[in-house]
This record gives sequence, C-alpha cells and structure tokens, in this order.
Amino acid sequence: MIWAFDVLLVLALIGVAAHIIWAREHFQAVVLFITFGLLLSMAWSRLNAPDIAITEAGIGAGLSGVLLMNALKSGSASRPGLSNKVLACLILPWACLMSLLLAWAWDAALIGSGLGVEVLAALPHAAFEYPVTAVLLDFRTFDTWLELGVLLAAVFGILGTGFRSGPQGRPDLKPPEPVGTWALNILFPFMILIGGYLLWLGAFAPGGAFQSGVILAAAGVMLWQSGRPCLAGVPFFWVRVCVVSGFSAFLLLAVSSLVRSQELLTHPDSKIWILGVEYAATLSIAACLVILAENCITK
Amino acid sequence: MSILHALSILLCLAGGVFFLGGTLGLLRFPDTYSRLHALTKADNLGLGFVVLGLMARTENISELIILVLIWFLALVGSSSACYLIANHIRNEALHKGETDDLGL
Amino acid sequence: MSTFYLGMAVFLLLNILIGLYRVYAGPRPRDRMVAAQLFGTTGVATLLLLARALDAVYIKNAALVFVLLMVMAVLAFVRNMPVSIDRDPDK
Repeated sequence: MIWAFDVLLVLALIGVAAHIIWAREHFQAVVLFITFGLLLSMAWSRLNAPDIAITEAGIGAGLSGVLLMNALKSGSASRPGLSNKVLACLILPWACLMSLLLAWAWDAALIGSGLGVEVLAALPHAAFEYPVTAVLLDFRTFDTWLELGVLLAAVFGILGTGFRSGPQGRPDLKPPEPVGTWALNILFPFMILIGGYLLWLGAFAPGGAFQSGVILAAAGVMLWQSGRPCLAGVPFFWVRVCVVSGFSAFLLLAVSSLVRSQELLTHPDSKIWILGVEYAATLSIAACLVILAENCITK
Repeated sequence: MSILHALSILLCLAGGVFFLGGTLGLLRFPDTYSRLHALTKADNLGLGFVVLGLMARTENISELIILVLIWFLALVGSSSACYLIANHIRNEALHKGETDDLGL
Repeated sequence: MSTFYLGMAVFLLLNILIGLYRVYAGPRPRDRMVAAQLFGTTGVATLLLLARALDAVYIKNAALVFVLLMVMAVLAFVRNMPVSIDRDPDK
C-alpha cells in the first residue's frame, strides 16, 4: 500500500509541475504552485523529514501563495502557450533522462548514512538534543549565518526598489475588512502561540528558528492583510533593528570567539548564548519575511 | 482496544465519503456559489470525521489537544475563506451592475 | 492497521488530483480559488492520516502549520484581485 501512495505522489508532483509550466494563465499557475507546496510537504513527510515538511507547509503553501498573489495584481493575466513543436522537442530528451535516472537509482546502493554517524557521536557535546537543530546551530553555524545574510540581501533589494512607498517611505494600508478581522482575532493568538511552541520544541524535536520565524511572519502578514498596521505601526528604527538582529547576533558570536582566541563561532558553554542567537534569528526571519510580503506588490 | 480500532475505521470511512461528496460537488455543480457551498460544508464535515477517527487512536493528551486544535482552526479558516470568496463574487456583480449567477 | 490509514491517504490524494480538474477547467479565477479551499481541508486530512500511518507524531505539526496559513492565500486573492481581472474570458 505504501507503494501505491509513493507512485501516486510522484506522478502528482510531476503532473502538477508540468501543468504549472504549461498553464496559460498566471493565476492558474499560482494556484497550482500552492498545490505543489502541499504535495511537496506530503513528500517530505513520507521521506521522514518532519522539519522540512513543516517549513514547506509554511513557506510553500502559505507565504509563497501570498507573495505570488500580490505580484499578480497588475499586468496581463495570461501568456501565449507553448507551441506543440517546442513540447515535442522537450518531451523526448526528458523521457530519456528520466529513464536513465530511474535505471541508475534502482541499482544504486546506499554508500553509508552520510555524516550521520559522526553527528550522533558528537551530539553529547552539542547544546541541543535534537540532531537537526544541533547541526544547524551548533556544528554548521557558518551556513546558518550565511542564510540569514541572503535573506538580509533580499530585504535590501526589495526596500531599495521602493515600489510600495507612501509619502514617508512606508507601504500604505488597506481598509480593514470585517471577516478578515474576525479570522485574524481568532488565528493571530494561535499563530504567536504555535510560533513560540515550535521555537521551544526545536531543542529536542522537529522545530526551531526557521519554522517559528515562518509562522510569526505569517501572523504579521495576516495582520497587514486585515488592514491593521503591522510593521507600519512600529517606528522604522525598530524594524531595522529586528531585521538585522539575526545576522548581527551571529556576527557578535564570531567576534567574541575570535577575541577569546578560539575557533570561529565557538560559543561558550552556557546555553544562554546559543539560545539568544536562535531567538534573534527567529525575530530576524519573521521581520524579513513580513517586509518581503508587504513590499512585493506591483502597482 | 479493538472497539476503538473499529470505531476509528468507521469514522475515517465516513469522513472519506464526505470528502468524495465535496469533490464531486466541486466538479459537477453549475456555478461558483454552489461549488463553494458544497465544498466547504462537505469537506469540513469530512475533516471532522477523520479527526474524530484519529482521536480514537491517540495515546496521550497532547496529541488529542493538537488534533482538536487543528479541527477548530480548520473550521475558522474555511468558513472565513468561503465567505470572502462569495462576498468578492457578489461585490463584483454589484460593481458591474449586472445580476450574478444566482440572479440576485 | 497502518494499511488502512495509508489507503485513506491514497483516496484523499486522488480526491485532490481529481479536484485539480477544476483548476484546469474553471472558466474564471474565482473557480480556481475555490479549488484552493479543497486543497486546504483535504491536504490537512491527508497529512494527519500520514502521521498516523507512518507513526510519526511530528507530522501533525506540519498539518497545524498548514491549517494556520490556509486562509492567507484567499485573503490575498480577495484584497488584491481587482474586479477587472476576474472576468469571464469568453466575454
């Protein structure tokens, strides 16, 4: 029975992806993209990766949908479809590649479990019990730091274009809507609660800074969609502080480790440091994603 | 334990029937209002039955609370989404000054 | 026992795929948005059944996150889509 589910899911993923590329109307492609996010979340669950499943459900099916719908507001709604000649030229090489890949994967043996053995051996020395969070924030802190840098660069890019600036350089608000307000009144406390719960859970179970940041960002975006000021109600100085807090927390950690002449990004034994860095990263991710969603509107 | 197993299977099957009804309604009904109505009502009922069936198999209290929370939040989200879409259709019909699908 | 829940998950996945026909054939954007409602509830049910079938407790958190973010896409559609785009393409 598990075979039936796997085959159906794979066919669904390929079919929806092909449909997205081939769809003539942009709105159709956006709705299909949300579906694709959901199916991908199911695939990650099936592959026994709950962390990525949670993040995919949040970003792929939630925030990406909002971003794409906001960007869809203006412009023409459709585009000319792919001609049959192009499709015929693409299908045959694709089919050959896929069959080669399947044939190779069928007989390929797992070389090992990657670095899993080394991680589990080093786990007692890490600050977290859960291996995924330990790898993200303890063993590979440099990669997480750079990811926050990428997010920061994206926010700089968006703010630099200044699409949605009002007279003071802030995005304008829409008038509030009653049903959206009602849904917000019920969902917003739960979003904050679940965000905090996942952040706390990250120490010993699937969760952590990214998942929590995504949910808090969703709370902020919903606040803004219902017509309440989200980041606009906060003085812009504090918005800037929140946005750079994650990156600079890692920077402080790096500088402090250099000052103490240890290896880069070694954190002291007390857990306060790494927890502080994790919380700052969550705040930073939430603020950056809210700015991205608020400003990605074309006039 | 087999009573709970049988109850869980029955409830999940009932949920499946309602999900099928909702999908058929989405495909076969003539206009947007009826599709929306069929989908929202039937799918939420189906989700309720599936959650009840899974609640019969939980082992501890925290899983039970999470399941009930998921059900409650799904109800809030679906009902507000249904109203938002229907209101949008109505406003568009009023804006264009013509009668919409229901002839209102 | 997990075979039954997997079978239900397969059935709900088939429901989603059949509902995609409405996204393909819906004459107006509002019909396609109605299909997004389908994915919301059916997707959550599928994730919950998968969590029980694979005996992985933390997939329920993925379903929880999905349910929280379900209404955001509809809000974005309603507040950003001007009435001129949501037109029947035949007219």
